[in-house]
Amino acid sequence: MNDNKYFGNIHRIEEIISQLDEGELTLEEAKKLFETAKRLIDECEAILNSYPGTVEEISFVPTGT
Amino acid sequence: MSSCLGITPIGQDLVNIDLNDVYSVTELSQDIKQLFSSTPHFNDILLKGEISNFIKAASGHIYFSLKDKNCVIACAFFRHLQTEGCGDLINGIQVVAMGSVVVYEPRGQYQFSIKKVTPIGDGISSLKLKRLRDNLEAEGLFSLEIKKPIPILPRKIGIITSKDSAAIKDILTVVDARCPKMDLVLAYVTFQENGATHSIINALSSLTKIKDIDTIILVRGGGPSEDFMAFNDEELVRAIALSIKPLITGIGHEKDTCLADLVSDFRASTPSTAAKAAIPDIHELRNGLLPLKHGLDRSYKSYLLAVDAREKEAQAKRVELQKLRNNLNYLNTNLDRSYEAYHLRLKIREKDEEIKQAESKQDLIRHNAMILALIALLVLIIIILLFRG
Repeated sequence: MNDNKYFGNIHRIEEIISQLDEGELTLEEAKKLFETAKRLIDECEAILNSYPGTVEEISFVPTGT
Repeated sequence: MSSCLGITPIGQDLVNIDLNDVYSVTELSQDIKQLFSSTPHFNDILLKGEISNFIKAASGHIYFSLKDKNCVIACAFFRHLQTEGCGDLINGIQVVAMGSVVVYEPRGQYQFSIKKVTPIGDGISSLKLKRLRDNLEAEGLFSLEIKKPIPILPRKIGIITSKDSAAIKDILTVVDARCPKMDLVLAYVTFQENGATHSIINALSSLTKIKDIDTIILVRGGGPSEDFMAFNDEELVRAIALSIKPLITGIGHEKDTCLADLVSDFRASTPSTAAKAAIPDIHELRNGLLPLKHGLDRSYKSYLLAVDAREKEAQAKRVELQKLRNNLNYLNTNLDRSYEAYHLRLKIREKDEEIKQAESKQDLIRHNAMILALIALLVLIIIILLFRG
């Protein structure tokens, strides 16, 4: 399942936003964190777009039923 | 019973009555009680019905009603008559009771006093089901603590249902609405009594072995109650309990709860609800990312603006500082100049003093020389005078 990756990313992005809002970063640190958060958002979108939509069918109906 | 007590001739005027011929409430109640106890139709008879309003009093006596389609009779099952198995009596089961109709005089009520009772028909099934449910519950199979969390973003979902059922259509509708590209494995089984349990267990076992299936849903629509029997089968319940993958049930409709529901990790009331619990709403999740994106951009811009503002403020301070520094340099230069001038003046004054002192000394020497010259002149004059004289 993708829960840990997706929701872990969301949590990290929220942390980064808080860090940026606190404003105590150097310009270089802020830029690096902003780029990290952008990459994490892209990863989340990739997870949501990753379903190939396959449907497999298997029958477990006993013969003669 | 008195032969004439309370009996009124037709047309009797109630004004001219002899009160000795009138029933008291107690007398009538006693007569009714006597009538019931002396009539074979009401004694040691068998009565069938469904138990409702079941209560076991602190005294140990059991009270309930036996009902059928139209009527209800209050029943009492006193403690000293109760035998082993009486603890299995519950509301909703059909029973046959042996006993007598008795009158409880203080309330003027009649009730069926039970000597023996036994469940019948569906009652026995209900009883067995209740026992199985109690045993499984005692083993902790229904405990909330052992329920597995349902993944929010499963990679693949296994669906156990019957082919061409309304349930599968309901589920596919939910899939289309929430995540049209969801990966599915549809495991078709039979829900007919014969072979249903093993068909479902085989499907569950196979889906559990498929590595990327993260959630399994077991669904069937409403239908005849005998089609639900498989979902109360102990073997199936234990198979669900042992499943390493989270399982959601959506069996029948709201009113139907079976043991499979109780042991599952999440019980949905209908197949559609089960599908909603298992299948992520991709649009909603995607929409959930938007505020995060905007929040990130806004926070970064705010940060940059704050940095810019701080830079401008620092620049202004630097300019101010430079002004102060220039001012200080100016003052410093002036100070040096003044100090040098002071020193110069001091030196000049010293020189003046020196000159003055030197001049004073020369005057003295000149004065002394003059005195000496005068003395010498005087001596010379004296000598001249002496020579003349």
